Amino acid sequence: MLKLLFLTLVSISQIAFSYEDPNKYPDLDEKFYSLSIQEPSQKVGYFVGDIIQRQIKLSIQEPYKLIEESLPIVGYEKRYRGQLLGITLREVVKNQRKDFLELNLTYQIFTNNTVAKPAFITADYYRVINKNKPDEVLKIRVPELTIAVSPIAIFGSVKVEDDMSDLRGPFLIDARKYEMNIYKSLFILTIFLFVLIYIYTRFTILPGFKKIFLPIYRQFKKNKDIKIEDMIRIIHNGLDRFIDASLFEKNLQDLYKTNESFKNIDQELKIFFKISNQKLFTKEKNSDEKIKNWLMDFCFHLHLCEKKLPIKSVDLKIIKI
Amino acid sequence: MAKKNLADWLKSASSLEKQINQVILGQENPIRLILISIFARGHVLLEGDVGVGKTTMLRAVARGIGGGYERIEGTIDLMPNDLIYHTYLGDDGKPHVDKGPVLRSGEDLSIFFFNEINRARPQVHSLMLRIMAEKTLSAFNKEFHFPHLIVFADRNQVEKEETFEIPSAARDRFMMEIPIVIPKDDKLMTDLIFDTQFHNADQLITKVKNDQLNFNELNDVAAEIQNNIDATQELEKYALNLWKATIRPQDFNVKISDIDVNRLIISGSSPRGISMMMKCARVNAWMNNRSSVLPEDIHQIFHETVAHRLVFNPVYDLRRTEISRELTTEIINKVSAH
Repeated sequence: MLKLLFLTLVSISQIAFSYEDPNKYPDLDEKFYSLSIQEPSQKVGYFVGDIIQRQIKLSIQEPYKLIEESLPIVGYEKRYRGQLLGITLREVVKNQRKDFLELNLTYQIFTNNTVAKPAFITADYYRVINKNKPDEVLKIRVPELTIAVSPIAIFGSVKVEDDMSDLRGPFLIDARKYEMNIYKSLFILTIFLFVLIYIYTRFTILPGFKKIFLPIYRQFKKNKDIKIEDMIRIIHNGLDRFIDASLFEKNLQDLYKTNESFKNIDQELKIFFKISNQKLFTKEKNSDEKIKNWLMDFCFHLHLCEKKLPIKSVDLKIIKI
Repeated sequence: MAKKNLADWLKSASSLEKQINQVILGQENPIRLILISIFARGHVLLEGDVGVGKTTMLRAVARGIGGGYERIEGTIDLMPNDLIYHTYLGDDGKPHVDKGPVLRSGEDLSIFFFNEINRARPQVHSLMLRIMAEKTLSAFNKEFHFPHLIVFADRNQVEKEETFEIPSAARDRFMMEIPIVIPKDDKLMTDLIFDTQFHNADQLITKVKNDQLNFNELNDVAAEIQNNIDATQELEKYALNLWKATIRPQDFNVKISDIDVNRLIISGSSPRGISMMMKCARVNAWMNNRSSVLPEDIHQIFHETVAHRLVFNPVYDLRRTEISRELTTEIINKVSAH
């Protein structure tokens, strides 16, 4: 019970002390300072998460000097009549010279009231001290900023009709940020497209995407002295690996089931088996150079089929064996 | 024998094959395999249901190659001497002894058909296997020779009662086991029902010309084929791997659904089996008018020459027909030829 009472007192005291009494210090005479505030042009239509920026320029004349501790503190959320306002100071950029202070204050809206109602940044009181009389502490009032956290016109000090000036134009979301995002996305997409073309087309050289027949083709291209029988064996090995079984002319359908693109080179595959039978299983001889070139082309066609790239019938190399 | 003669023999063989195909519908592959076994000089087990045309097929083949054709039915009370002789009282009231089916054609016996061999007792199997292996028979204090003999035996795999399964050692003597199944083509099935020429087997086989292949020259032709058809080192390597795969299929990543391949095989193909396989492959290459054996030649006869030799774990033996087909197909799929 005591614990509960203690907690209640603590919370009440927090609320009480968070509200600063504006009458505690007298106002500084206006002849000793100049204050200009640049308010955001938008007053209505704010949603939770939106940013409000406010610029305050203050110059104070001698003998008064600003007490820096009285300036707004980042993260501090003000209350009004004991209620949290739902607007938090997110960033303060301070530009200070001898007697001049420029404050760029960035607030963020966290209130998400479902009912349209006004919201405001309460008035701030910056304190100044007389250098010659340290006991003389005065205040400068920075007026409140009233906005609406709903696009609906509401009662009170914010009048939507006042915010509908012809000069200001209609309420628009700043498109530049989104346009930039679109341009960035398009740029990244273009890069990706190039990468995909690079990976999946005949130009591929990346090791993980080469699959089976491109390395074989490159191996043949590099090693001009390779024996024709070895070329045939290597291609057979590639085909066997591709269908995970031993490929013969009679089970070519298994290859077509695995990848239909190979149907496009059906004639060449049959010629390959004839060459293979002739070279590996008979003692017949044929022009090696001619067959070697044909095998190179055939291997490249296998690579295109593996990549599911189209091969025109006119590109097929039909030779008599 | 000159190559020209082999070419002539090929023409005769092709002609006979064509004629038999006209008599027996939808059995192109078994007919080709039977002709291969004739030119490879090996005995054949036929496996199939009753009434699918096995006997008619053999009679047609026997008519085409000439020589003696004999047949006996396997029964549980059949004794070995029933193959050699039979006794009877003649018209003269005296006992007579006549030669049995094995001796009746003498040396000219070219085809002996043992119908339902698994219904006969092991004693009969034993005699038959000796005749098959040695092509001789001792009877009446005399040695009989059958140099041109090829045995075709049939076994009914459906009925198991009162049968004596042929042991694996005996099965190994057969060059091939050829499955004969009912044709699946509707047109062929309709012809078999409604075309009356197929209803009279005796009349039907007369369409095959007599003595087209001289049976007494077949041994020489067979040797000539084996000598003239080449097998390259590449093919030798392939045949060797196929053999190894029948012994340890797991080494070749052979997988069969619902079967533990590691436990499946008790004994793979015998050396005799693989040599018979190569003999048949050579004949197949010759029948396809080639001078060298290709992997495809082996594929065509692989199941028929190997499957019946494999000894399976008894757990799987009841499903033998189905498993052996899957196993041989998978071996061909997994063993690379190149």
